[in-house]
Amino acid sequence: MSVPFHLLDRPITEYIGVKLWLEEYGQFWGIPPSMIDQELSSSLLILERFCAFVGKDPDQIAGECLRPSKVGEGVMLRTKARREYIGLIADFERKEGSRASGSAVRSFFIHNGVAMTPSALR
Amino acid sequence: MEFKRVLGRRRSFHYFATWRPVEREKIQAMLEAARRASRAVNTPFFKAVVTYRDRLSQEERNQFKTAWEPTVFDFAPVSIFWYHDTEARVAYVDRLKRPGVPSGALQDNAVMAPLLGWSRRFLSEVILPELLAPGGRSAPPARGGNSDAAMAMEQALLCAYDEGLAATLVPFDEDGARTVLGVPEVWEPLLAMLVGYPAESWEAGGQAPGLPFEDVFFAGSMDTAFERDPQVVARLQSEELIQEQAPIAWRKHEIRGLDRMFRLPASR
Amino acid sequence: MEFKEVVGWRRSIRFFAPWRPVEREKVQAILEAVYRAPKVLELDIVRCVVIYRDALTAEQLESIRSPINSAQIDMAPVYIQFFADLQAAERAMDGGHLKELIDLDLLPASFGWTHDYVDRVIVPQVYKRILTDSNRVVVGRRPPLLQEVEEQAQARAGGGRTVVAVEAEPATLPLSLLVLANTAVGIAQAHALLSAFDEGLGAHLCGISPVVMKQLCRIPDYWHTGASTMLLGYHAGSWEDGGQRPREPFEEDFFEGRYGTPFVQDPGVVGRLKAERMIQDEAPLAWRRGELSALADMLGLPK
Ligand SMILES: Cc1cc2nc3c(=O)[nH]c(=O)nc-3n(C[C@H](O)[C@H](O)[C@H](O)COP(=O)(O)O)c2cc1C
Repeated sequence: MSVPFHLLDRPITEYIGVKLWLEEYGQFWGIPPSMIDQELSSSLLILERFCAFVGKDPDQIAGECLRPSKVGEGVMLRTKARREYIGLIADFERKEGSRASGSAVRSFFIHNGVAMTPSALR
Repeated sequence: MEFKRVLGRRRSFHYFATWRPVEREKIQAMLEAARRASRAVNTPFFKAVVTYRDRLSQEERNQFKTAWEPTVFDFAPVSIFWYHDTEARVAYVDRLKRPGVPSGALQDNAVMAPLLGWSRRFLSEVILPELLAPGGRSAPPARGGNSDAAMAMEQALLCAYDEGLAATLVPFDEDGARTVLGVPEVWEPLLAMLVGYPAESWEAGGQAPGLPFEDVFFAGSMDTAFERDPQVVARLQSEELIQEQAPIAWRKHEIRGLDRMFRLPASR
Repeated sequence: MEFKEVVGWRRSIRFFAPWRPVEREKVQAILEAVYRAPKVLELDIVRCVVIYRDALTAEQLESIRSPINSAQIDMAPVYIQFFADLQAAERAMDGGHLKELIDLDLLPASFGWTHDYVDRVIVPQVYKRILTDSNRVVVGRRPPLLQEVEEQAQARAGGGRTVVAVEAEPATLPLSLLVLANTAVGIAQAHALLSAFDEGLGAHLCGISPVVMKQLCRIPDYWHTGASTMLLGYHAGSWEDGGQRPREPFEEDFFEGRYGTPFVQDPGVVGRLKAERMIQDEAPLAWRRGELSALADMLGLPK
């Protein structure tokens, strides 16, 4: 599925949240920056499809889930928005018929600081 | 020693062999065990000061005493004073930059992982300001005890038994101990751990009774007791977690003998 | 297992085999170990409720999820919640239990223990002081994130059905009573965590809303609980679980003789404890990321 062009006005890897994702993912899993795009190529496509699914770009999505902290330092989770996205990811996962699709999107959220996990498979 | 036997052996000892010093290496082993205990955000909320009876004057020892078993301080060759460091969060995270959870050290060391929903950003920007300092980072250190510090203390206590020592927990006088030990005001006292080789038998009168098992443990909710299966009890008896209960027939004679040995006034 | 090995193998296990139940006998063995924990001031304070994940409704399970715990909650088949019965000191005011211990020759007269001493000194000077401590502290204050999660759980429950009623905890407690409660619970948790590993299981303490837990376990107001629940199950990964976790320098924690004089760590003792497997290889282990990646695939968790 292709993403409507008005939604993403630049390549997905140029969004701040996506850059952060690639950087943090590479850092955790020990993948050199030169190889990270390739490593996550299918995940990036999945994220594009998720953006189309919710009609928002990656930075809008991440921005909706975090806000500056009341006490001055750090950021706070917007728990309501986070919860809504947890539901949307589950819907998206069902639509795509694949846990891997859900996992890719969750990975984007997680490395951006929005903690979430699905139920572990039994 | 087998783990269950260590737990089974533990009880409150009173009569320590005053003439037998405790090897420093055994004390270190106990402290090492304390350090391995679970601790919220990997922060050491415990602190401890090890003292040796023979290096303290009688007046100094008297300063530790409360109404609860004051005499024991004169028996045990080693007393370890356990504290809750109410400033641990701030010191550990902000000042010392130790490998706590919010520093990302556990993430970097792949103990914690995105599999569980965590990332460095979550830990450092969400969790650090959130969980680490309820009420804001400038909130004053709060007293009120700390279960983590107690957990560390208990691991040390059990390790004493594994090392062939006996250890007993008693309260101590906060102000007196501060005078003798010079500990910071922000340390809140937990308990003193009196350590030594026992002069009494390992039975020490037998295991103490408590509330019925079913009044303490519940399944699902408080409405349903966790039923005690006698077969499991039998297994744990053979593993020596559950040992002979007090009273033990010869205990009175033992106490009389010990009192003679230590020239203690038998007031009964 | 040898005691030192149990201490060495204990580490916070956060990946459990979600499909493998824990035998009831092992749960009981853990409780029996808690039962044998020392009692601070001879007070019987600790209570435990064992919760089986699969006995919870989907709504109940949902109510204990939070951003910091959700995957672990799903993986662990058993949770043990620790409470402190705040009425324990009040109930001991008759000195009855201490007198029983005296009569059993567990508290010797030569150390001052007589019925008269209990009545004249211990009850008024120790127990009563705990209960009447004028220094009171606020309990139940929770970080904003947790509070928000609780409020939402309540809102979701909606429609008059109370899955989770967010009730105010008693606003303040006597400081000495709270110290006692936390100390007793910590001691019990040490026994429980270590026993889990001795029984061949993995475990860790996990922050779950105490308000939600109190509601779930239907416990009275005078049972106090902190924010950590023990999750229990079989390891999904290796026992190494990435290696032992880092610790600060030994000399920061312990002092000898007096504060300011560190208790210097003797490397010879460390060597012995390594041989006894209490001190083991520290994280990160070289193969850890491979293991985590495999666990993610097996359990359907994100990377
Ligand atoms: C009171 C308490 C609460 C804890 N809460 C959590 C938690 O919510 N999530 C978690 O993953 N670990 C939790 N832990 C585990 C600690 O993070 C862990 O003990 C610490 O990082 C040291 O690692 P180790 O237990 O593996 O030695 C908690 C520990 C304690 C004592």
